[in-house]
Amino acid sequence: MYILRCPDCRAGSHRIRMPGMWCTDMPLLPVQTPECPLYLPGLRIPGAITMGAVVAILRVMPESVDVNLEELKKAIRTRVPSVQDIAEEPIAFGLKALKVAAIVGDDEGGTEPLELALAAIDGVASAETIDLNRML
Amino acid sequence: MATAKPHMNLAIIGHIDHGKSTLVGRLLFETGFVPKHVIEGYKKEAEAKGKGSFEFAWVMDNLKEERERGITIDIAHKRFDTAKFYFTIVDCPGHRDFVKNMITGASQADAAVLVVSAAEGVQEQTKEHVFLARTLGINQLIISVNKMDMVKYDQKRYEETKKNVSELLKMVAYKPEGMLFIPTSAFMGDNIKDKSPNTPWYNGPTILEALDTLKEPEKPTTLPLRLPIQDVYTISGIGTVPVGRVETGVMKKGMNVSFMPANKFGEIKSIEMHHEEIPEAVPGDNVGFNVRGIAKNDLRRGDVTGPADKPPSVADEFTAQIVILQHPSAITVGYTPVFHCHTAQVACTFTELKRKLDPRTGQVKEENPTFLKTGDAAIVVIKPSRPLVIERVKEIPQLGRFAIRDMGSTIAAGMCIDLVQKQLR
Repeated sequence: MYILRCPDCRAGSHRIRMPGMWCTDMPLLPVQTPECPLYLPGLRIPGAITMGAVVAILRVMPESVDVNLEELKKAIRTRVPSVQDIAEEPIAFGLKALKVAAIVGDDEGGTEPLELALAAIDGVASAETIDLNRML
Repeated sequence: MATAKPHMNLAIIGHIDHGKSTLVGRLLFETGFVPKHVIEGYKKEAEAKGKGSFEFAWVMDNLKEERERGITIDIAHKRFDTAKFYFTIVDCPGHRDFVKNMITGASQADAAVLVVSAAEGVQEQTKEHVFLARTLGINQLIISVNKMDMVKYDQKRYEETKKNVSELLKMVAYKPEGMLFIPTSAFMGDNIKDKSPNTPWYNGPTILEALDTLKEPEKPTTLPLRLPIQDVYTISGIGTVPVGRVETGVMKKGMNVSFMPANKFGEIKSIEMHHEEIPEAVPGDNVGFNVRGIAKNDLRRGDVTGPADKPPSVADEFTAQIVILQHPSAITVGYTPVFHCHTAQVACTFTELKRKLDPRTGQVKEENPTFLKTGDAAIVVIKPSRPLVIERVKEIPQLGRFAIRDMGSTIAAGMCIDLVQKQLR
């Protein structure tokens, strides 16, 4: 299988038109093996690009106001490696939630596995997805 | 950044690779909401190489590299301002597995931009997303006929795409006559912010102008209060504190409330949001409230708070219109998957398949079908295995929608059109 690679996209010295493919003023070279991560700025291959990474922001509610949030953050980072960022969010009457940003992969079946993994951690009452965006 | 502008959730929908990401990037870029350090990085490189103006392609590449550097909550939350509104982008993944999030709240949108490539026209996901947008109650739609650069800004291709999309929209009872169709190239920047010289035959608004023609979503404050409970706490010195988001109506201090299906009643002593006491909470507010006369164990996640005199409806059974998104075989009477409705998750049984509908026209295709499969739309009767609060979508749409999940994937989406009230003692 041929995959096109763009050696230096900002050089733009020549232009190759491929049927069904499109690239603005960028030289393309056929390569034999896919390089991972395949990173092709500006190249559009209809149908060949997958959904891409999705970032979910979840609200993690502790079981009680007495749960140590620092410990909980540590536990979340250890148990759920896809977690990228954690912030505290004040809710009410001294109760704080944790806002957690995590990446959901293509074939993980949505946010449910992530919600379940977070909810299974000691000290967590519930985990709910509150925002969902594809990465650009 | 605080702003007094009204807020809108804007969904970007359409077939994979028709330019959704590029459009999002372009909107952020043209409105100056690309993260600062990306712009800083560009400036440094531009100075070093002696380049002039910003290049969109460079910015897109660097936004992509964010992924490798790690994502923060701020970056994940994509927002921009137009003259009139403050938009948060709901960049829905096309994948069916995320339909649940679109229904249960995370990705609810007030308006949508449907992106259709002029080069490829209407595709499978274009249809699916239009249908879903309709099911989810998104009534304001702007159509970006994208990738015009790939068809050499050909007016014929634009008109053809517009015609095909219009037909699709009519099938699900949208009125395309009143909608804006904009020939764009998100990648090249045509008709996004400024009118493009490449489309002299087009006299309509650009995408950003079109966004300002949207109507501000009315907060459903006139409906009865509905607040689905996320969790319940006992806080020392305070008492019982349920936590959740107001979906409809207004919650006021001193109000007498009911909790269903728990069938409990109490009085609101105080309401807090972000640790600050507020006299009332309106739709969209995430609050904790202290309630007199209720113990923590009286309530659980999935219960819904309402006024004492207009308690939430508890369904003994309900009639629903559903669309099957993906099911490996066939759905028959007796099938019992899990229904996700507001914060509740309840196993429910299909007790009757009343009618199969043509998903495109809504016309009855078959009375009393024996089974339903992927792609079918139908009117069915559902019996919850335990008491469930659900409302008729015509009365309180926010609590009338649900997703059906089984074995880790979303198999159907639907809405409650009628219900039989459960008698509570």
